[in-house]
Amino acid sequence: MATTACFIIVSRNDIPIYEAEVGVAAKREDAAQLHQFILHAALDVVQDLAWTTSAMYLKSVDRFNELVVSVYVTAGHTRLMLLHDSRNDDGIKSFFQEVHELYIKTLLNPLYLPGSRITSSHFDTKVRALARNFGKLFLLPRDLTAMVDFPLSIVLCTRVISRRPCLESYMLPKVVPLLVLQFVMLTDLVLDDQLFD
Amino acid sequence: MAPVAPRSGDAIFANIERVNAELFTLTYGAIVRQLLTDLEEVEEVNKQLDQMGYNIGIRLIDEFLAKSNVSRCVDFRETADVIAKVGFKMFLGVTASVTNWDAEGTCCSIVLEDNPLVDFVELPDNYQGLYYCNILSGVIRGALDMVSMKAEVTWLRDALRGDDVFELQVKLLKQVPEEYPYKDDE
Repeated sequence: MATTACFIIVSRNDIPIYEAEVGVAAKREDAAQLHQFILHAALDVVQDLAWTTSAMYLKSVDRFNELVVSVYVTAGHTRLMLLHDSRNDDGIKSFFQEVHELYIKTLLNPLYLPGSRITSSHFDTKVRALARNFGKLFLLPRDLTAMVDFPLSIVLCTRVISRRPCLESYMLPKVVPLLVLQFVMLTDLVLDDQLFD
Repeated sequence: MAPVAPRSGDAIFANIERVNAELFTLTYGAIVRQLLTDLEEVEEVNKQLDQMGYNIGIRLIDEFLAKSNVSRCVDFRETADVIAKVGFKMFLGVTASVTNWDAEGTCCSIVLEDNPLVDFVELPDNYQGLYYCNILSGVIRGALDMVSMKAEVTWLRDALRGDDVFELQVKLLKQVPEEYPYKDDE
């Protein structure tokens, strides 16, 4: 099951200054290291690509199995990198633009030294909130079906179902076939922010 | 006691020369940043900012009196009011309010809801002891000093430390009687 999104910011001196695992928590213990590794490997590609275009958003620059690396390079050559496993260019682009905005605000803080680690909890919360909002866009339905694998998702599903006014009147049987659940989830999730909270 | 002084600094603010707010904010930020680098100790920076503010205040009061046309204040209450309504408006472009008077009328709080100095600022963990706007308290102290009032100015609330507003406590220590500077036989 791969519902991953890992976001890092790399300073112009190739030092990571902010890292966040966003999206649904990774199952594998070594996933975090793997993500770092992939992102790190993509830096070289970014270096070459960055000078070939005037656009800040470089789209997906590298991939590893089903994981894709999308990159956004700011004018100061700070790189915002997102590792994700779906393709939704528009969503990711606007996510990058919003984070860029936040990053500029951080840079304007006189007490923040450019190139140092971003420790601000305000920034962290904002980025995670953004990722949650756009999370629906990073994660394809394919990923969501994977979630049905574990029991918790049934609870989630019933919650989602019960929120729908049209379904509320139905007496749902205790055991709803998983397939039905999956279907309901897929149709409903796009509208439901709460699921990722 | 009909106050002849203008009740707000709006008119003066409209006619005074202004600079871009971001330039102002970032310049002040650069000063604080440089002080932090040079002095290393947060406590020292607080002291230095206060001293710088004092030096500004003792000069600023002259400009203030020249441009604002306020007349002599009858008591400290009026003084505080003029600082909050006219002074802050004139030099910072915001208005403060005066609250929490004590019984003797010598101690009050100046509450700033909007503070242009802190527009982009967020205190990182290692500078938690910093009073970022300490220059303001120095300015008030310096200005009052020049009009023969010894005052003590301290921060009660600081929005950078998680409070909702900025609150400065101004405490009048004593009013120095004006002395004729020369002795007769000199």
